[in-house]
Amino acid sequence: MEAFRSIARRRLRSALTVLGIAIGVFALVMMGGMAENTNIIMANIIRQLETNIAVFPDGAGGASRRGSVFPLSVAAKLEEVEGVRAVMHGIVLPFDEQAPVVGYGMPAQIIGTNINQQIEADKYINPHVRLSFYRGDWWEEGSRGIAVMGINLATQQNVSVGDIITNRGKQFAVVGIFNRVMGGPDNAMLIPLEDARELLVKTQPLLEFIEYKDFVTTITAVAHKEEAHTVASRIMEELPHLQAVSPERGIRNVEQSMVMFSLIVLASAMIALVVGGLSVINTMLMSVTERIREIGLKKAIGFRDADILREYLLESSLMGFFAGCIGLGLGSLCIYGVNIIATAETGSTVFTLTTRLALGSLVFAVFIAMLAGLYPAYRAAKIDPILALKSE
Amino acid sequence: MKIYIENLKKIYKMGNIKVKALNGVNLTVEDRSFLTIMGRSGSGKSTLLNMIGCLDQPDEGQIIFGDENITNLKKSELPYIRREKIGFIFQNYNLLPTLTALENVILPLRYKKSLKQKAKTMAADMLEKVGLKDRINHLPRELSGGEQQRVAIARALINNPAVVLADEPTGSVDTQTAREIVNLMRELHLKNQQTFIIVSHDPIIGEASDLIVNMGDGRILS
Repeated sequence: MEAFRSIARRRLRSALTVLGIAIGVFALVMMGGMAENTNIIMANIIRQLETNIAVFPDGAGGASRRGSVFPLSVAAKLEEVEGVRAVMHGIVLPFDEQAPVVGYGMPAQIIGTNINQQIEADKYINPHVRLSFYRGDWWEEGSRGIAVMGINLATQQNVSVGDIITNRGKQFAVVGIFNRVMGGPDNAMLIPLEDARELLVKTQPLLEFIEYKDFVTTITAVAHKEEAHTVASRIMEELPHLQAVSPERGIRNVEQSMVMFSLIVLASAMIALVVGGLSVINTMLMSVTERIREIGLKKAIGFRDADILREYLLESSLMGFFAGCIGLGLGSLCIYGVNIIATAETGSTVFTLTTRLALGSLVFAVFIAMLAGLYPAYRAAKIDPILALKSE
Repeated sequence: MKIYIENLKKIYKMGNIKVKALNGVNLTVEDRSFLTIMGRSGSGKSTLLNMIGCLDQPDEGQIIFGDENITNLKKSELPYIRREKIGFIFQNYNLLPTLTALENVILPLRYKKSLKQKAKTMAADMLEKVGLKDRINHLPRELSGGEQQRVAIARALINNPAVVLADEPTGSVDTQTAREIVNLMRELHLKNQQTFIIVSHDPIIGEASDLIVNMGDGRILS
């Protein structure tokens, strides 16, 4: 193939050009991999959110929601509201007592829950994010000092089924580990509600003096996702002392941040790729100048402008393709390596190389190189054969 | 194919100076002739060859190939004429350095879809005819000047053109090789019954020609 040989003719120059684009593709694969990873997590958060109506005591708004507690009896009243398919109540507290305020990824949480309602509510959740077990199973009703963990948290804490994990001075026997869902549960430890209440009181001793002992920190009503908004309004109508927040706003926020994050990340990677494209223009222009006689000869023996144009575009696209393969290969290796390290350290992956990202990077590399080759190819096609054949 | 050239004029502008490269050339080239155009450099012979070869178009006058007036053709139609009707041989061979002898010979057929399957066989046959049967897979740099010119001749003839145009075909080789190349062209001319128009200073070519045309100052002198 002539295009291949033409590239091989100036090995160093071609290699440097290819390397320039390859670095761009590498950046695109890495940054894109990070965006894809985040997008998957975000999409799963949306799936978890879409059926859930968060319920708060009236007056608790904004940041104060987190600290609020309310009696379990609220849950029973919620179940009677039309459209509510299940009610989940629980106690949520950070896994680490001194959890950092800002950190990458989702913070690890302890979720105190009632085993029966958990299994019931799971039926109504989007199947994509439904929990399944990698090892072990749920605990028996009435058990205490028992935990089921998300795979990331378990890896990070280096515990498996049968091990004991200590939190805030209390010991829990791990009886199950979930499969990865790329969402919140991956970083959670689920324990019986009563145990969570005990841990919460240790953190906030004033709760000892609360009038009701069966307090919870979160109540979530599960509805059909299409009905969530209506059901939320209905809850507030029928139970005026509660605030019910339908998932829409949360989902919108998540979606917006997904788009923004992807745009910023991909734009920065594309800049790298465009810089690589500029070196293609340079290389191809030099190559046209060097091969001016050959172009003249081809035109003399009947090649049309379009034939010359096509050959030069093929050559630059080929460089883009090589660069794409190299960048993608390096990117995949790097993603694989970093993910192994990240999983061992934090239990979660940082990058996800999706098929669309892999194919997209390759196609984009070829496209950029072809675009960069357009002007040099046009110059080549428009060369006057007589002048070209005379040139030294 | 008979070629009629009538009152051909071409003026080139070099800065503010106008150069009359062709100043009313009239010439009839008989079908299947072996014609040499001679003349000093600047006499207009190469310009005339470029016009006949459809590489350039005249300002005035016309060139008629058989019954087709090629001076009326659109610029985009000229490559078609060059590919179908004309074969070029150059002084410095103009072989593509990255292609083997065989691939160089195939080049004019690259965009001729109907011949794609047969192209390789045709090119190998053509190289055999010019005596390079054993060199078909060699790159130009592995061939001598004479061999390279033979490859160029094979390339010019691969599409079986009605007219073969040669610009100083022996200008880069020694006398012995020049003689071999002229003999080869003459032999192929007789075998294929094609019209050969050669621009040259070389008396060896002159001796082998049916007709010699002398040019000077953009006109035919004799």
